[in-house]
Amino acid sequence: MKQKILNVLTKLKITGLIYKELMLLSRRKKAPILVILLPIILSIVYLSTTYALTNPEITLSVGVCNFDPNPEVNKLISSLSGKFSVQTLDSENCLANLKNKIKDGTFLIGLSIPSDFSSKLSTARQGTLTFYVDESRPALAAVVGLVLNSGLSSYSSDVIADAESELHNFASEARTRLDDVSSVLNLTIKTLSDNKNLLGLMYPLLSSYLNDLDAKLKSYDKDLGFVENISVAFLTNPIVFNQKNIYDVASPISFNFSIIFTIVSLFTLLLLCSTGYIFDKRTNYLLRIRSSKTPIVHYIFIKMIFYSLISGLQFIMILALMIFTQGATFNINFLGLIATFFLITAINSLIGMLIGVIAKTENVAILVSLILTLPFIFLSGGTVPIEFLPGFLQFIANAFPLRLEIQLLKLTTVLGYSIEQIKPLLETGLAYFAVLFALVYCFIKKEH
Amino acid sequence: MFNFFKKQTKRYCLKVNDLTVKYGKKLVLKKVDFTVGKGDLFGIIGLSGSGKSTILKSILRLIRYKGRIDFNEKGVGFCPQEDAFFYELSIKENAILFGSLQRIKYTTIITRLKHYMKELELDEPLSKLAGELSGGQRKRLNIILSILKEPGVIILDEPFAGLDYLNRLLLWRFITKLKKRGKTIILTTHLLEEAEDYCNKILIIKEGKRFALGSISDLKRRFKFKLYARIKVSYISAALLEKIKYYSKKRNIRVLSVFNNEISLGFPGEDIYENFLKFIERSGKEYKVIELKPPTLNELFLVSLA
Repeated sequence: MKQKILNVLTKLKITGLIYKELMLLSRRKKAPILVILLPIILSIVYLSTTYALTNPEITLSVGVCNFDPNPEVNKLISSLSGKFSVQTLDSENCLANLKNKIKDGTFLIGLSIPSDFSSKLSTARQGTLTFYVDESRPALAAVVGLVLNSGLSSYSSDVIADAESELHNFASEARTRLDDVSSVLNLTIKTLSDNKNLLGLMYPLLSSYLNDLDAKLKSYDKDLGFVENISVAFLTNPIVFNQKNIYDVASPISFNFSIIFTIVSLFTLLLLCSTGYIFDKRTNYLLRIRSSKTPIVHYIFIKMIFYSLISGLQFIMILALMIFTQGATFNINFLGLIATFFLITAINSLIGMLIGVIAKTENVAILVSLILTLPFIFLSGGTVPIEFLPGFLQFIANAFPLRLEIQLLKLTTVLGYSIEQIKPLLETGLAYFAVLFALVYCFIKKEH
Repeated sequence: MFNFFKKQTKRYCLKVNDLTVKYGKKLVLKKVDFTVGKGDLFGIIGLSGSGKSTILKSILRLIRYKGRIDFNEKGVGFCPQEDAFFYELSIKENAILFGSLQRIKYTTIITRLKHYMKELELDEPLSKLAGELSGGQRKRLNIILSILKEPGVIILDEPFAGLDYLNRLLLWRFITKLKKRGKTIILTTHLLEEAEDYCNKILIIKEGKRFALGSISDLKRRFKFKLYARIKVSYISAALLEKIKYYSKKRNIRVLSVFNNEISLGFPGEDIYENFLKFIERSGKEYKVIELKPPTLNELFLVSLA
């Protein structure tokens, strides 16, 4: 029975083509390791960077130069201590020391508190803090202000709350005094009214004047009521942006899946397909294929299908990793996903083969794969918003298929779009596929 | 009536007309013509870069060419010069892979693999990795993988390159066996003496052109080359060499090489040879005949270089 099956299988040319890929992959220990480890490593790294930017629990070292003699400033330092590892330096040559310690890596951030900081705050004036950062580390310099602001948010809230409470107290006290004055005035008006006969012609003049005064006091009271109810938060930050997501998705982190998988798939397939093609050329496998009258189209298709299956493994691994470690939830449209998946892996495999055709050696192919993968990643929109890039880069980014791949995968795995809904994107993907396939076919045909 | 039908039967296996190949702007083959008969052991010889492998690739339609290539045989097996199998796979796995590319049944693949391994004395387990075989064994495996389909025509590109004498002998015997079984074999080689012993037809390629075609006796006849002599002269001055060349040209003597006062010549007959010796005597030089024999393919090949 087994032999009968084998007899049927070996009569099919594709068996030989698949058998070769399968056997060689199993014999080469490095390739399976790359296939398995790459998605794990890249997922962990990518998710960790997201975590590092959003998680407030990271301990960063902060050096402080405190020139403010007021003990009130200790509240600021202790509020920082909860989130940062804070060390206050001696006031002598403090700023020079602080800069040196940032340079040698002792501190990540330096903070200088001016001598009038507390007094300004206590007199309801804006206090200024100066922070120092190593500008030779642009990534850190770009985010450190945000991180420090976030670290000081509770202290700022306390200052605002104190100011608000003080303002309310002032207003309340003023209103109480105004009420007292108003009571005295009303009593006077009443006494005058009771004795208007005594006052004679003086009464109408006095009465009119006192009533005007009463009306003015009521107006002042109303204004003070407004001040009493005013929010200091409004004065410091009148407009607050409240970010809302547009998709009704249980876990927005699921969107990261499409970015991680397409990058992993691109990297793996570019490396495997480009070096695989050169290996086939070097070992005269393509010569055997041509002399056995096997069409080149078969060879290209089998390579694409085989490497798609490898990518399938990576797909499952990343999916499982995100579900079990991040609690990501997915709304998968299976038909849409299958179409998208094969389109993505076919495009990536063809780019890999194209590199293999152009590069003469495996080392050059690896180098070209790496050189291509990095801009692909940066221009995919997965790390930097494409809209923020200069015009010519936006044009290049739109021409790169990775962006389309991410979009397709996002729609079919997280938002559950059907084939009908993603038809225009699929058509664009098919156009990429057709062009790449024609190029690879022509190059291989020309070479062999 | 009978003769009419006999004439219609194609007796050739391969007919090549006006074969021209260009690599970029370089003309590699220039209007090469030849015919290979059924059951021939056809040897293609020539210097490295003369276009031997290009002829094979054209026959297999692996490259673009101009001209006409007419095959009268189904099934062609091609064995490239370099190992065309995977070192990471076992002998059996390689056979399954390449057998399947030629649509052969699994059981047939294994039977034929064992049969050819026995014939080629490749006494190794099927599970052995191809990369663990010796150079000679790899060469034999390379050939086995090319003939698993048992094609009518077997094309071998330099099958003896890098092999020791025993391995070469083994391979020649195997090739002769295949010929006896009715297979047509086309091969390229640099081993002229062995090609002379085994090939029944030789094509000499010189700078992409057909220099000569036929059996050894055909070539001898065509070159008017009956006697080969290597003569040591006491001193060959430039003037004497000019005289010798002039004398030879007039009498169809081929000056094959001149080196260190030693001259190799091809004579169309014995009388011309004896007259030549007298001519040397007349020039006042002493001489000694080092070698005198009927020419072999080695000497015929020298004609193409001269």
